[in-house]
Amino acid sequence: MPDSFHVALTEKLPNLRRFALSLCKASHLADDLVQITVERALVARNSYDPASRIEAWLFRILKNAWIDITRKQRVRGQEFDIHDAPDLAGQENHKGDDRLMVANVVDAVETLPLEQREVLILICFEELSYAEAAEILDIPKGTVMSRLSRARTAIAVKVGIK
Amino acid sequence: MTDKTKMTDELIMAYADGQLPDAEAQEVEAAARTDAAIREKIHLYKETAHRLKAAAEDIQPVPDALAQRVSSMLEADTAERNLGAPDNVVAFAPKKWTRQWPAALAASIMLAIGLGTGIAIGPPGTSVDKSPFGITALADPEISEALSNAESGSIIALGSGATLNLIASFIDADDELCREFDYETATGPSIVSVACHSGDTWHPRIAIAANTEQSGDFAPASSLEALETWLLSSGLGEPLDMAVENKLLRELGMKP
Repeated sequence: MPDSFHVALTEKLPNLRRFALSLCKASHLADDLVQITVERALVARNSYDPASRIEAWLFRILKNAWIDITRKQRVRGQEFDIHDAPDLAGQENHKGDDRLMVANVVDAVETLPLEQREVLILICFEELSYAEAAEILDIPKGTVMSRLSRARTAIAVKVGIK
Repeated sequence: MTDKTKMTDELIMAYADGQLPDAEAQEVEAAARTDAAIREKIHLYKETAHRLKAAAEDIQPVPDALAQRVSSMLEADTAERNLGAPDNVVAFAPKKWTRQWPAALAASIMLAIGLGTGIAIGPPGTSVDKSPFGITALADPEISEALSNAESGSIIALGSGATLNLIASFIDADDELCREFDYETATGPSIVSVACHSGDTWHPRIAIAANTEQSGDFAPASSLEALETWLLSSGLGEPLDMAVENKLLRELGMKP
């Protein structure tokens, strides 16, 4: 009989990878991050409350793993090539014109700063609530809302929603 | 009478997303009836939500290599659960998937030990006892001295020829100062450890000896993953910032 926890974990792998890509942008790093998330989830499965949505719990593990990796990067300076992870430590490489039109909404998401992108992915892609996103990112709900509002206003401009 | 100054973008967005309680939603609706700008914003947020949701349905499957790695991890997990691992076995002891890490994370973990009691890191002047865990290196009194004095980020050359890298500091559930460090020798294994200070002595909570054959630099990343897995379950919380760490080290130095 299949382990329902394993089944749920496997089903969420594409979502975990998408969120990982939104954080680190390099696919090999994203894959490692997903693997670390699965490893931690297996170790910590007793702390998962089956009454809550598993993806919210998994996204939080993934986000914390990413924070740990960026912390190690700052201390050690040797784990990764910095160019592999342009958004490491919240540094942005997008300095483009906010009014620049893009072909589609996915491209528009890519141009957002990390802090707006991660909120947008969790709420508009993964359909989590504001409160769940706040919990995952460990920021106040009001901050989630202001980042999300700014992200969507920027996207509306870029794809020409009036 | 609705107060239009309360109609922030966030509130209008929450209305468009259906995340407002009824009373507040009715206020937004009332305001929108008389204010075209609010109606435009509602449209903007609904339309972006709609388009993003549509885009989200086009999700990429995970690459085969990742799917296979995860599948192996789940198989190993199932096997371990079926074996009914005893409570005193640390959950992140070497598992078969450690062999399947990508090149960047390739080196294997040789040894992973949780040290609830175990050895103490000797204070200066004590003899180096033979450790039952085979990591006598950690009893070097110079390590103890460095843990009590040097700030995180320091790299210290020890008299033994080994190098100590101080990584980060934490506070544990008992309010003890804990320090994460690497210990590297030129010939032996590299050890990644977390030690906590109590009773005037540093006690290793965990020590992971890592094969350094494939890494001329720091301990390989797979041992770091084991450490991070342990940190996740240890209750140590976030690493301290430098100012707090310095303050605690000063306090430690002032203790008799």
